[in-house]
Amino acid sequence: MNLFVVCSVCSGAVVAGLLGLRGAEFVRSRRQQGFRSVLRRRYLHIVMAALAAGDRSVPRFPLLRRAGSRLVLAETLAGIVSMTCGLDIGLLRQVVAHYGLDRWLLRRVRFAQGYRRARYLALLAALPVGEEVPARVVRYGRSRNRYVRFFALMTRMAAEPAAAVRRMADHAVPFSDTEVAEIMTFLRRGALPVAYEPLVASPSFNLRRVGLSIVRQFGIEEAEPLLLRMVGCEGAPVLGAEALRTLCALRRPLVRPQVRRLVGRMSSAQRRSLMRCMVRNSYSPAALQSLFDEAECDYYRTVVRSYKRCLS
Amino acid sequence: MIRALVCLLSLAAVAAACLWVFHLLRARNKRLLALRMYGTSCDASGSIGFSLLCSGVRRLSQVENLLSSEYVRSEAVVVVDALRRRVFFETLVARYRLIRVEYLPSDEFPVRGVRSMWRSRRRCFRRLVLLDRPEDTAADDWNAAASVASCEYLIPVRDGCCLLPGVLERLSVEVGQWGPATVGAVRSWVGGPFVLVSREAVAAAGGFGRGFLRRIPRRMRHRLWEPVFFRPEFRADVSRWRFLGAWALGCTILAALLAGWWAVAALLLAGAVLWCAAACSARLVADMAGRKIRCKIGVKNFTEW
Repeated sequence: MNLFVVCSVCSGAVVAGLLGLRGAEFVRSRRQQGFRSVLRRRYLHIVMAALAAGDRSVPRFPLLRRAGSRLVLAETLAGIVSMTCGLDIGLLRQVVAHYGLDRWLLRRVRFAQGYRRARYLALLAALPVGEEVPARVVRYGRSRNRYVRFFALMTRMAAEPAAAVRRMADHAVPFSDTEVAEIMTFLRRGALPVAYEPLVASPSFNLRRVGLSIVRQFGIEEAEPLLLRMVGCEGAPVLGAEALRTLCALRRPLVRPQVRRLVGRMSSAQRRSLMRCMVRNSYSPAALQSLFDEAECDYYRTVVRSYKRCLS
Repeated sequence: MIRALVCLLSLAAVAAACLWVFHLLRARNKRLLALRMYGTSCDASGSIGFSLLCSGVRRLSQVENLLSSEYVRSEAVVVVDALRRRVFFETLVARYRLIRVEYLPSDEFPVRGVRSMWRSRRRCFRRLVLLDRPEDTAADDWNAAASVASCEYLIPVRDGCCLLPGVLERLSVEVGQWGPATVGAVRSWVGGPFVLVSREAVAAAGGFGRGFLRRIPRRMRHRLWEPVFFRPEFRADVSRWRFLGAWALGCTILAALLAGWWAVAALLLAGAVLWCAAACSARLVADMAGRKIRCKIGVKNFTEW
């Protein structure tokens, strides 16, 4: 009897919790698509009008006291900062300071957990925040969630661009491809200097990856000697392979002793993957005969011919 | 003994339901975070590329959907039988101005019966490859498509499977998080079955075929708790019958509690937990799939400022 009572109470509590969650989700979705979507358009219009007018007075945002409106404003400002290059963020900084968005977001960060915390930190990273913010997000750099750690780093980098390189080097976890892409968007907005040399030559894995990404995306052919040195380095095969792909992306000659040694150390699957990368970058089969054996050269020719019009 | 077993089963059902909803909530939050990561939209991150291998596609709208992704390093390889689906094949060739290219079989995958291969040269549709081969099994179609795919990650697609917006960007975040050498397969059962496999892992497993996923090492298999393909249920409203069923269940539970039938009440409440978990997960999945909810808020007042 008692056992059934305990079971019933547990199940009842879970049913109540799940029904509450469902209701909350329903209300959230309705708000998101009704009130908030209209408010987002309106706030965007106000900010764009203020930016176009060029005056320094902080615009007034209606209904800012309603639940969720500050989040909408923060998302709108973050969206504008993320999607524009060369924007004068003076006015946006004033808006953030005037409405206390950075302090409000820090409070949300403190009470959220996991991916929600990372999301608020991502918003903080995109906003022009006050000077006290970097010190207050340091503790999230030790979180177990890699996204929380990464966006805490991004927030600190955004607030103190001069110390960005040091912060990236100190980041304990190797950057994933997505994280490097995120840093590149940050860099393209002009928030970081495009100085690839100290990054590529650095002993830090993270800095080298960011440096390689800069070289690849800006097509910096002068970096070839540095890339060849990285390809020739036997201690870091992952970075060597990425440096080789960067050389491919730059369409530089690949018949070099360093490249031959690295290709020799690769597995068969890795070599084939590299060949497909080379085909996409239009390397001729004749130029690569010394890098691969005869069977692999046949595979390369096959892939190249599959891009050519059939005349038969 | 039976009493303890019933209690144990109902508690297990409650725990499983809670765990399921917790995973979906976590996935929803992760998806919201990934939407804020614009880096993957601007340029493909690193070497992560996706080849969509399509078998049994019958509609042009599905091909358009697969090609509409803004993720740079993605391509669609469509396998069609030009003899049996002549009109569809010719429509595809004309619509995307495909040219016939040389097809030479690769030794990585077991491929047979490919008659011709076509590529698009139109700037906006360069990511389309068309293979003509006789219709047999989906696995053979996927093997043929994989042999000409140029990306490192393969996504088998069946007829009627359309990608949800931003899915490839989301998958690139997921694959990038684990690292290239550690991802053999990523599976999802939420909102319909989906699998993403590494080309290297499938080639090592002998290609697509019966039980090919089991041949990929367990440590390289990962799970995703999100929908990837669109399903009509995501747009469907909750039916009136479901409300009536919920009310009936609620009334029965109340009656059992009032009558003091605790065993019946415990079982009914376990059923109610499962029903609530299903309702919650349907809501969360529809939310992740971008479902639009009809809103009765008068938006006119807001737009007249």
